[in-house]
Amino acid sequence: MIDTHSHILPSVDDGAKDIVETFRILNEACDAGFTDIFATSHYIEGEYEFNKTDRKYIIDAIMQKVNDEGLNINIHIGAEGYISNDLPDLIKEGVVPTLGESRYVLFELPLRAKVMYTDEVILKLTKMNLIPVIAHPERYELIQDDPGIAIDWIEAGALLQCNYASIIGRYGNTAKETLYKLLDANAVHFLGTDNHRAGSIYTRMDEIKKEFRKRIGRDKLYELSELNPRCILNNEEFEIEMPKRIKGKRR
Amino acid sequence: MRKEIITQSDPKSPISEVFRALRTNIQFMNKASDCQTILTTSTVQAEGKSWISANLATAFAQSGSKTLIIDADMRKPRQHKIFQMNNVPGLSNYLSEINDLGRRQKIDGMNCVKQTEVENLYLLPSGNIPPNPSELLMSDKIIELIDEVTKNFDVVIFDGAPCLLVTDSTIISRLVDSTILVTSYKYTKIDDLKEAKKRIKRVGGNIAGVVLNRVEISNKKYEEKYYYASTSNTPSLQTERRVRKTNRNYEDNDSENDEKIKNVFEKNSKEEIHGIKKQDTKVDEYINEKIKDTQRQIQDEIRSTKFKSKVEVPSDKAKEILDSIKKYKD
Repeated sequence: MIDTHSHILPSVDDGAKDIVETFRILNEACDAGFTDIFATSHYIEGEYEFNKTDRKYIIDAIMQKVNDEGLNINIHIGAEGYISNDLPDLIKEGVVPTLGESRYVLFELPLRAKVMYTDEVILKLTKMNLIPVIAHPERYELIQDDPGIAIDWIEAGALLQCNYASIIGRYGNTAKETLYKLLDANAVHFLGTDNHRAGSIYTRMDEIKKEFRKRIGRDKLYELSELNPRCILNNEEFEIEMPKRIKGKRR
Repeated sequence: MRKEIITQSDPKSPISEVFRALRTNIQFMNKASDCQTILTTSTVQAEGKSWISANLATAFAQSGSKTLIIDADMRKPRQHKIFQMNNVPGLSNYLSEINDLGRRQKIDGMNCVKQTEVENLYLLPSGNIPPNPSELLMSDKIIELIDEVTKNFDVVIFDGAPCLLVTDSTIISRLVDSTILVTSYKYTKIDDLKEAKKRIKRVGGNIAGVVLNRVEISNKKYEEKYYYASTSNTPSLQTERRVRKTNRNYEDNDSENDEKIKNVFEKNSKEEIHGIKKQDTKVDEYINEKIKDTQRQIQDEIRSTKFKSKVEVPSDKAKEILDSIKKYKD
């Protein structure tokens, strides 16, 4: 399995607080069956501002230790950007890295507030020949109110990354219901753990995978957790199936 | 540009023919003035206004008229999405004299007009979503704008908001030459339509006619294409993806890079052709594969130079973290 969303780098953001915790998380990830992890620590202007170079050095240093320890896991560079009008420029200037330096860009929206310019950011990124990947849409109030907006994003050229733990209700029941709607509409492209702490999501993967298999079947789960993320690693595009329109409230 | 502009992406399809017929009808309807101003509106939302106005505007542009489409639906703008352009600055910025950064600034209406990918077709997007679109439209500035654009364009099409829900379109209808009411088959209510007509007539608007959209057409009778195009105004995502996929590889704003890719392609394909015996049936396949490889390599190269970080050494904070990592189990 390949994890497309994690906060495992030590003291870079609100994820792992030191290198000891990083290694506890990495061990858990190995046990859960992950072979590759994108280290997508937050990049939020004025809050978490570790740039691409910093991240590269930190990941290199950790990978050395990983090899010393004999762990079978690869860490790839990445960032969870925070939506803003500057995000495309920050990527262009080499401050915010894309996922594994591929064409895929992961970014998040505020959980509660409604952002009016998401479409513009998607447009700017696609014009730069990049593929926007929106992190955990099921957690946004905007999408919980109207999942159809997520379909609009896909039509505009974005892909969606949902969180594994949403299916066991970690982010509340509404997020879980919304994830169901997105999965049923065939609107999810990647799964990620969004793991911040040791002893949290990686340790519950068996239970989570069981839930996913129940909902979408073994093959689809394999696609979302391995095949599609593999395309990011190889910097390839994959054929996207048309999502179904989601019935219910429209704006 | 999205596939929604069927008159452009598939000019030979029956649906494009329908739009050209509509265009001709309107051309004959109005006489005297040099410039025609047309408003499209509907009773309620989701009847296909934006799609109709975008395609109608394209049909006008194709006939050689310099055409402007104004997105006057400042509540739920869609034209910028259809033409895949930036929504700001636009109509609301011009009317409110507040620029897209929220500062007061006099904005020239013509400066907000952007050229689309369709020849002869220009777009004035709606701008930032204002809290009070109706009030903005009541100001004299809209009349000034119409005066100005009619001097510069042959045809001006307003894509309005639904006229039963908000008054925006009713306000515009008295300023334009003619108004088109868009209705949707088995969706629009006849009483709503009557009410809409009454409202427009009351303010002195001139109704050119009614467009009946989304009529079901028998699959057997027409080509499948026709059926698909006329019944759904959102094109198949898959088709769009495929188109984008093929285009994207060549798409790059930087003309210098384009040139670079092209040169290497040509060079490479020539070399390969000379290097391989012609009778081999797999030559084409092989060359295509090679071209793809080169393409990928070059794009990687471009990206790494383009998105190159300006700093090469880690920051002080990062150095602290690096030290702590080095100390781990050392």
